[in-house]
Amino acid sequence: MTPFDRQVRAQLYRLFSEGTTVVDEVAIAESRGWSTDDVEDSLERLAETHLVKLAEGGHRVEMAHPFSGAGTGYRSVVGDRSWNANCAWDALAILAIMGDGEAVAPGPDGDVVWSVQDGKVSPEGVVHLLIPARRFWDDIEFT
Amino acid sequence: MWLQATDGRRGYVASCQTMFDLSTDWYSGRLDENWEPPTPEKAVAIFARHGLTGDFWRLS
Repeated sequence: MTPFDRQVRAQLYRLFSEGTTVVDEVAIAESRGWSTDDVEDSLERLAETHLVKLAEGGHRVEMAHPFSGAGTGYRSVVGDRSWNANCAWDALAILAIMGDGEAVAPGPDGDVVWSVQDGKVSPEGVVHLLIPARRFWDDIEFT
Repeated sequence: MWLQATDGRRGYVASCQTMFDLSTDWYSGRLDENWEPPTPEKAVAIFARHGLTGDFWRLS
């Protein structure tokens, strides 16, 4: 990563963690006074190295794991703040970053909610990962 | 029921607690500017610390 790519990566994570839902080249550039063109180039490099996933045909950050730039139904809630997640694992992972709260996953009979308090998840549950780790990025949206 | 969503294909089933504990390790420092992505060797070591071993979790 170039020094600028490091700054862009950290800034887009900062925006997600602060609750920004649309994190794109404009939001990132305006938040730091950077050139939009420079941010676009940086985002493309970050995407090439699988540090982010960009929306098709643009520079909106769709995935910066564990944060999601899209409403997937999976989400994390801490107090009055919430974030979109990419999957059940990521809904739990956001809590690992942001603090105790609830991880929400859509289920056939309604939302499934796990609570995390002091690092303990309840109720007990499982996460099913279909794609092996070495192939996570073959099709990251499916993963 | 959850296997219906994957046409009966079964991958790896981990407890939510295991995935949360892995996440505290895996995402440690992720928001920091100086964060470095883990090398494959380090990534496998992180998985292993949480009991995630075997073919599913290998990276090569």
